Amino acid sequence: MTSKEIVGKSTPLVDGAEKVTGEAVYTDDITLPGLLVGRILRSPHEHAQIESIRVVDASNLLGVHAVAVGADAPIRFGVLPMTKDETALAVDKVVYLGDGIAAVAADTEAIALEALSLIKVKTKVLPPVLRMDEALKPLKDGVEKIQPMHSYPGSRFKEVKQSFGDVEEAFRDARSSVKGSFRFQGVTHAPTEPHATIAHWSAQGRLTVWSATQVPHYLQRSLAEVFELPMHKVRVIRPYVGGGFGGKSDPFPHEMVAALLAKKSGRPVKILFDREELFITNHGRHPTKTEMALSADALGNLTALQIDALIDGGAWGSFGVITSYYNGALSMGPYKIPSFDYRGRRVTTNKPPSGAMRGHGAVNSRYALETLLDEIAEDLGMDPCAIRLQNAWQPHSLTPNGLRITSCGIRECIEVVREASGWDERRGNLPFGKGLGIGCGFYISGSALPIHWERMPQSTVHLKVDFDGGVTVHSLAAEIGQGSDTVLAQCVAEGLGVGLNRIRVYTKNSDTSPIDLGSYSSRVTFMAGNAAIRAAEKVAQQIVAGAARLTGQPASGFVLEGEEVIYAPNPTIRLSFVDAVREALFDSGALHGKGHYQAPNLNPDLPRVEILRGKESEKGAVMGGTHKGAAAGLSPSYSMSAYIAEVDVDPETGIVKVPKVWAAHDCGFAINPIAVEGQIEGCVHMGMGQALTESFDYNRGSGRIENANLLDYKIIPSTDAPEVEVFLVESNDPEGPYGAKEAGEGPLLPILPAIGNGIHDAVGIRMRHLPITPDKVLAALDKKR
Amino acid sequence: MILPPFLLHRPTTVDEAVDLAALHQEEGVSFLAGGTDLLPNWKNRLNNQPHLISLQSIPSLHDVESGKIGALATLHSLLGFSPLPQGLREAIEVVASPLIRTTATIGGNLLLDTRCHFFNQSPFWRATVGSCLKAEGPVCRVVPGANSCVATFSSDLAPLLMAMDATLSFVGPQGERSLPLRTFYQQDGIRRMVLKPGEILTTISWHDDPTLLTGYAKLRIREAWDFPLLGVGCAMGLCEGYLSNLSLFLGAVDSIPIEVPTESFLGEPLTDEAIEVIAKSAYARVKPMKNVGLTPSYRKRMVPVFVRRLLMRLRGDH
Ligand SMILES: Cc1cc2nc3c(=O)[nH]c(=O)nc-3n(C[C@H](O)[C@H](O)[C@H](O)COP(=O)(O)OP(=O)(O)OC[C@H]3O[C@@H](n4cnc5c(N)ncnc54)[C@H](O)[C@@H]3O)c2cc1C
Ligand code: SF4
Repeated sequence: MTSKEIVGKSTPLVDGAEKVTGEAVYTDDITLPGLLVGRILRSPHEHAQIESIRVVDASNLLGVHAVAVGADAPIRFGVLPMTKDETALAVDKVVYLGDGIAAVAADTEAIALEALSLIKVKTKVLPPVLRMDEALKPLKDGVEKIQPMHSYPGSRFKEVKQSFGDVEEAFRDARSSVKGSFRFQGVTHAPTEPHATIAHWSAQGRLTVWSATQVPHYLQRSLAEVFELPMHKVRVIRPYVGGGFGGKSDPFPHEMVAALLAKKSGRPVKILFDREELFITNHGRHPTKTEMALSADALGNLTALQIDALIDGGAWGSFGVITSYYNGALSMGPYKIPSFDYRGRRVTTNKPPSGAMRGHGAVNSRYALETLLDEIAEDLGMDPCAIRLQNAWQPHSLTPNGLRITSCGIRECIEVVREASGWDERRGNLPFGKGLGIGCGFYISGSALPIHWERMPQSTVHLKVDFDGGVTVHSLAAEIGQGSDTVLAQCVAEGLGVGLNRIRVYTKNSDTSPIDLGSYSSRVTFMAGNAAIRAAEKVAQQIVAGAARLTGQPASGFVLEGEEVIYAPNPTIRLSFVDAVREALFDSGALHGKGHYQAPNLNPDLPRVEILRGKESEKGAVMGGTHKGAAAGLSPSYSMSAYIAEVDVDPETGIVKVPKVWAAHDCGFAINPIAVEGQIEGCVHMGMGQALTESFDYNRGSGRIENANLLDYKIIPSTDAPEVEVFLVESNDPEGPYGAKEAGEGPLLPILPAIGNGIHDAVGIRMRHLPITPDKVLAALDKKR
Repeated sequence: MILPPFLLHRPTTVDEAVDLAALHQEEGVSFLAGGTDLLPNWKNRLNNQPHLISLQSIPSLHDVESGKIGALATLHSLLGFSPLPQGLREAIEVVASPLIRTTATIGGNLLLDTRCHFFNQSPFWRATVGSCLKAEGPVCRVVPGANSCVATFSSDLAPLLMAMDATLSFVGPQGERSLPLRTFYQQDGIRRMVLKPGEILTTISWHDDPTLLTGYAKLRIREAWDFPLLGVGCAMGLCEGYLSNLSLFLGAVDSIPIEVPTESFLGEPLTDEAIEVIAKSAYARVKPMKNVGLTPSYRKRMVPVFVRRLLMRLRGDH
């Protein structure tokens, strides 16, 4: 291929027209003959033993077709194989306010709700553990462990430690050191589409589940486990998804409940959450307390970073083991920091479960680190951009915790926003109340090691080309609005030298699509994109063989470009794509090609499972060190970003506004620039919510969310969204598809500290507790005065 | 969330609506205007009734003329009406969102229910804590031991229209009556006002005085959707720098709008010192409750700031 024709061009999403015209079918749009409405009875207590459940009155209600309780499906599941602690419905006790106790399937929602009111539950209320400090202590007499399977003492879920270099010495010898205690409220994804699932058992006993999910494969696995079926007996269909942000990246109890009710009733059952249920079941970002210290030498070189993160997991494990590591491992850059000490503790409390949310595990520590970095710069009399540039990672380097850095455009990111924002002239020189702040970040382009420790490919893409001239792409990569179907289509079109209108992408059905692990950890463009490129190469070879046969020229000379197959040494020899395809398949049938992706094996001496488990096992791709938890944070590639925010603080009201953000993101190569820009703008918007307004508020110290609706949970509206000037930095990753890296999560990280640091530039206060509400700003200003 | 079952009535005249209300009074009736307040509450099973009488099909209630507005006029339609007092325009423009304002009516806004974190919740939520006085429960959850409700008055238009000394007209089973808006609300988060059972608000009117300066200032977290956490409505007459008229009402810091006394300043110039005294006296008059967003102490602290800024703006400062 000579020049790129499809990738790198802003392309309207291939599913965009369906969405804006209303043609797109979401889970709740689906109706089936005999479809029933499923509803879940939820616990009014944070922690309680279930003594008895009387369902007979509900069962006898006209229009009720099934009633289910926890004992009907007691097998535990969870997204991580090592912490399966969820059940479809509570088996013998409820662990948070909102936990499912029983469920009904009925002809209508009104009947289902009436039936729920007829279920009589007798419970013995148990003392709840609601605060993190309480959870750390040994359990008081008579207090029952929330999850007996969590083996750490007290109500701890996981404790991790990582240490590199001599941190104590570094702090002792430092010219400057700063530290701070940071607090972060829980926040949640709040996608437009609430959870929705339909389940149906076919006459042959196969289970089909339609669900708004980011992880069809993990859902398939969990359904198979809970219903004790071979995996191939479960079909998962992912209809259009109205946003996920990590909120649909676990297999969920309601998905099991729908299947259970369908099994019991013999009819298809739909469960659609109302908004309150979405808040209650949460799986959002962990409430966090972060103690952090940072040191530098007299020249401004960073010497040590110490982090102690305490995170509130709520009632279940979810992705919590990974979160526990990420709060440390994803803080060690994009700066050279020779020594590092991390302790991460995640506790279990009787609160809605926390989970993975955009920027998973990295957001809160990032805020703390970038704030302290500004403070150290101030202490040393350095410019905040300059200290970041001085310490920035170099391309093709290794971090102390074994992250392999390949392409790295962090310097370019900082330089471009510094220039565009007029930083050198403006920062520190704006009137009181106006400020500029910078924040940087980096993020994984997919986790190198999959959740399930096995050798299977992380992505596979199938292609089919027939003599109708159309190209069909099959993959289970979950399009959730981020544009992954479009990326697959672009990669294939580019590889075959054809227009996008020939490409049809099928990513919804686990029966027909080869497995992809799903849309989480910002992995799809990198992994499925690479698989798509390889699949296209396979098919291109077959097409070229046809062209060679027809023209009598050697196959090695052909290129596919502009819907033609051209003999490069003599370009007058060319034929149309369709003619070449027809020649290639007339004696063999439709062309097929597949490609797969597996993170690279960088250290073949170490079998990958050894890193994870500390013992020898099957061989596979490997990288990183051999310390405990070395797998956490490993990625084939990392995105980089730097933002500068202009911030207005009203010193009399404490109200903070962000009129403008300059956002530079190194995504390696923008396969679809307009989609990358959209991701960046969305990240700015979402991160700004966590910085300024969004918070899970618990009513009077209980486990009851006070603001479980979109009026009281303050997502930033468009009226308050800043103008965002996006700069795409293309560092051309050696292993990325066409050089691309992630752009879905990393762009969220820098906006929070950019705002925090901007507030400091505006009015001279350091905000360590998020969200930065006006009352907190005034309190800090009062203290300073 | 689904609505509870109810019977919808669609009368085409005010008299018909009044008769229908009287007929079903025993069983329980509500009137429906835009429904942007009533229907979300009904979905939460808050004071829902078996009969709902829509006022939408009564043409006379939609009439708008200068200084006299039909209760069913939507907030959006009023923005296109002239002359519209500047303060009323400012207040309308900060109600909810543009989309909601195409449905929300001026009458519904003045009759808006009060709000509280313990009240505006789903039945599930309320069951977990036990209901409160305003929702057929035994106690107030905000002020334990209180025997009245202190839910927050949340209409944006009321403080401004009170400052403008607007008049309300009603038709009810006992016929027509008119009342100054200033005497309409009563200090009780549940009953809220002196509307009689079966009475329909028909018009909102005020004396059209083009020299009157009016303005509204609102504290909220977001620039769209959010109910007020403090609202300041002001009407001011300035004659060659001297105050001929000044009235000031605070919303969202109590169960009704609170008036800030200003008589002693009439006939005086509106100096910075005078503004400071008024702002201080506004501060002293309010005791916000912990039942809506942000802390009560913060909301109280904002009272003098917002009062001062609004008065300065109306005085002509920049
Ligand atoms: C997301 C959201 C945000 C909001 N934000 C704001 C805000 O910022 N500021 C604000 O002031 N309001 C806000 N509101 C509330 C509401 O939208 C407005 O106050 C609106 O003006 C109410 O008018 P309506 O016609 O919809 O009232 P309805 O809901 O129809 O009625 C409200 C009440 O008045 C009664 N009623 C209505 N008309 C009559 C009549 N003519 N005679 C007798 N009784 C009558 C009804 O029975 C009901 O009790 C918000 C609402 C929502 C959903
Ligand atoms: S103020 Fe008290 S009585 Fe009124 S709604 Fe709130 S909790 Fe209920």
